[in-house]
Amino acid sequence: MSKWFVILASLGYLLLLFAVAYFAEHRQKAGKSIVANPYVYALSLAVYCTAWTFYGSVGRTISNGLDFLYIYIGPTIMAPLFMVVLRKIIRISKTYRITSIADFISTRFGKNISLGIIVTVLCVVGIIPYISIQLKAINISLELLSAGNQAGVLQPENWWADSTLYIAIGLSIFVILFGTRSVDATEKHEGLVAAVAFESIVKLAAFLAVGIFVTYGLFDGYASIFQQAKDVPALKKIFTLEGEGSYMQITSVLLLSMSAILFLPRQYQVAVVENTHEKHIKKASWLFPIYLFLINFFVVAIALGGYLLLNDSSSPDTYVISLPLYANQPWLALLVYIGGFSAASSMIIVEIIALSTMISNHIVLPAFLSIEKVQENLDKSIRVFIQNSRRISIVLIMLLALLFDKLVAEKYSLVSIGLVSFTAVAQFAPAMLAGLYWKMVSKNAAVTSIVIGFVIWFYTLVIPSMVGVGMIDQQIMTDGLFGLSILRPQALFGLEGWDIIAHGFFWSIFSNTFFLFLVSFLFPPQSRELYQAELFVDIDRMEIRGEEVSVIWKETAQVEALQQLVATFIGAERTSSMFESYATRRNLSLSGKADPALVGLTERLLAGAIGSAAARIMVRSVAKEKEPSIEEVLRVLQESQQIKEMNKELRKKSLELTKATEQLTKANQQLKQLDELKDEFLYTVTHELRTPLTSIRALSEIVFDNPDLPEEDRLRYLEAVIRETERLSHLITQVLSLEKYENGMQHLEVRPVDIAQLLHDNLASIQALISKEQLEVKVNIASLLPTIHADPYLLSQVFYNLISNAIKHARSSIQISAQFSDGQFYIEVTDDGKGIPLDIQDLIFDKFFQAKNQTLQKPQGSGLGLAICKKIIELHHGQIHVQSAPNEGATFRVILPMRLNEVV
Amino acid sequence: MKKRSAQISGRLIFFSVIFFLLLGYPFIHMANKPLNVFGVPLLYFYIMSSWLALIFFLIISQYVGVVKEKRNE
Repeated sequence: MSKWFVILASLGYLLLLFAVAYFAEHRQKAGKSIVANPYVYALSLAVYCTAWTFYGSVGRTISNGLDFLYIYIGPTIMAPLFMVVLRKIIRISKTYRITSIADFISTRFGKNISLGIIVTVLCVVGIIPYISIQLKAINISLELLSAGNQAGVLQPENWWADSTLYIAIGLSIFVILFGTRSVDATEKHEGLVAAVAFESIVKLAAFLAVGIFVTYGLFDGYASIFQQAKDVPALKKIFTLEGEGSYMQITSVLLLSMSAILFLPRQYQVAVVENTHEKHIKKASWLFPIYLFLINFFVVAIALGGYLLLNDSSSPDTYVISLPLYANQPWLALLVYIGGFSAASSMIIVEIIALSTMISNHIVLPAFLSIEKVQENLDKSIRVFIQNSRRISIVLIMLLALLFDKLVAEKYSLVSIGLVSFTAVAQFAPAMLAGLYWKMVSKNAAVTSIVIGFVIWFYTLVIPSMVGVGMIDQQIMTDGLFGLSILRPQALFGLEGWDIIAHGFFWSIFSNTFFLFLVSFLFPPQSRELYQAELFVDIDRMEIRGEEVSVIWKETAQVEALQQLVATFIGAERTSSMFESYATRRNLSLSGKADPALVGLTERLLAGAIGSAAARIMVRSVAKEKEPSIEEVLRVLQESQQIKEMNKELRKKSLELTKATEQLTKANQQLKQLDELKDEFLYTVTHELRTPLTSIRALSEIVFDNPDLPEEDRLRYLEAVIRETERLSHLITQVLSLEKYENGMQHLEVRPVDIAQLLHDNLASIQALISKEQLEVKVNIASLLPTIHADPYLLSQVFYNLISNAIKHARSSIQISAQFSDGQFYIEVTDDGKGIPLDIQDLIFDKFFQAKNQTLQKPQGSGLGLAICKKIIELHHGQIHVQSAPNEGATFRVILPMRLNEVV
Repeated sequence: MKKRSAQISGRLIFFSVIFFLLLGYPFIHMANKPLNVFGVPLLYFYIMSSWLALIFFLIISQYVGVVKEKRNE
């Protein structure tokens, strides 16, 4: 394929990106954003997958086996934590208008200028090689596609003939046009995000296309590739991990990628600065891992396929594009090239924006704005200066990346350089994470830990690369620094045999974390740092609505001066709107002396444009500031803590009150229920009493009114009167008895009782009735039953009641049984009567159940017998149940414990 | 509300820790055998299926969260 055709295709694709970006910005201005949704957000996070993923993963598979997968598994493992960690970072960044990772760290530790500079320098040094490998990838794939195979690739003789240069120029123009239009870095670059999301789709589609082609076009599926590769010695490492060192290697890659997904400048840019709504994190936390899984699915197949078909004729880093060329599929190769171009360009675009903002806000502007003359003659031309400083930074970064590409990157694989960059940004992880959750981490600790981590990173990972390209003498690798063998860069303190990345990562992060805690304990945070710590760590608890963050600084300034200062940077119209909104909310006039909160608002508005450190310089230039003492800060923090505690106490009281109200409502309901029960009970008792009384009265009147009544009838009536009187008396006795049980007035007279004897006595006393009803009695009482400790009189009452009930309902027989098992007595009284319907089995132990259910066939009795039985058994700590089925009789089972120790 | 948020955070941290352990030593060592599953090496199969399982749990976790929120509403 002609080189010029490929370059033209690249420029054409760049034009397409311009169109996508322009369209997105046009929609944003029209208020119809195409970016503000979780899908585009997830796709923009996929900027994580660079040319390193697209080409380098295959190369890494051949050289190191499966550990490349951990570069993508790390972010997937972090994905569940997005809702915890990333959301907090976003919330803080939006509240304090933080624009980059350097800004974040600098703001957290007291808006410290030097910390911002250190983080920026580390980012630039760590990321430039990473950008350079993107350019390298574009260059290699372009040359390969033009030449048709590896052997045909020729390096250009003149620098101006190098196609990478023109690609770099094109990308720089794109970034300058769509990334530096606004001075306010917190403003969303919707055009850019749309382009990045579009590129994510293109690179995924291209990779899947080549993966499917290799797996199913050149081979017969995954299993077939593995089958053919299993006997190739060089590919053994893809089948199993070799040696104990492999585990350390994958663990370090896993940890590195877990930190990279949050702390790489480009990830911070898309995940935090460009985030339009916090809720998008939720869906992105599973959409993004799916993307990572898909883009890696065919990597092993391409690696094995490439090795089997191309062997040594091609570098493993280029298998992705070499395989379609080998199979004579130039259009597929072109698609792959565009996919790789997308992967590389999206990374370059976002990374350069992030870095240029950092350079401008943390190096150029603090230095420039510190000059007194600049402060005195500040006008709106400063905005042009800011934009130009960012544009120059973009060009500078691109030039440095090109230079690195020509001097160093050509000699290294894509993935090796990528992991070195990952280790560089991992140095922010301890300070960032500790800063998010621990208030006592100090600025000095953050500076020390990052610097030490950076130095060790440089010594263990960058020095060996410099030795590799001949920039430093080889001797340092073999003899160590100053001839000390314990200082050998790849075997520091004698730690030998580790993978270079695992080694560098271990020592840099270990030292970094160690010094972070050590220095924090030795040099605790100062007043400003403590204040910032409070604002960051407790972001969720802070009462923050825009500018209404509590301000403790003693600053005095004129409102007009502040307004003018902000207008210089972000424009008069926007400033006026923000200040007026503030004044309306606080019912203040926009003249005279500004209150501390307005000074705070000014600083935050400026921070969005020029970074927190430079904003602080500018505010100081118009506001007379007196640094508060540590006691004052502590007092304010203490007050804040007291308010929090008071709120907590109030919440606790409120909860207690709610609980008490619930209990009162419940008690009230119970009282109502009891009242209803009492009414019901009175009604039933009076009804039951009236029935025999009516009979007595009627019969007595007959006898009274008829003195000449025959003797036989008179006696019969008087007998009935006596019987009804007895019934009445029995009923009253039972009611009184029940009342005693319910009031807890009934006492037990506990003594050893022979259950078997008690049952036999009851049977004997009721024998006349049994004979009258002509019933068969089956007795099954276990021999040698132990003695129970109970009230014999009351138990006898229960058994008598149950047996007499059984007699009343039985058709032909009753059965009485008693057993002892597991320390309990089981006594059963069974009849073969009509049985008790299931739905009323639980109700028959209620008072007057029979009386209340007149529709049931009513046998003789008051309806209190079973209720009393239940009370007596419960007094004995026992249970009583009924088992019955229609027409199959009923069994009443009494369960009693053997010993009642503390019976009332 | 706060309690629910803490519960969700706890569940998410639990997922991360579990899969971090599952994909690290010693679990990975247990899968590091010269065996094949459906024609692919056991180690590769284990890593890819664990990865997929984590994604599946993430989706399910979100779905359960959404259903609970709707029910609370």
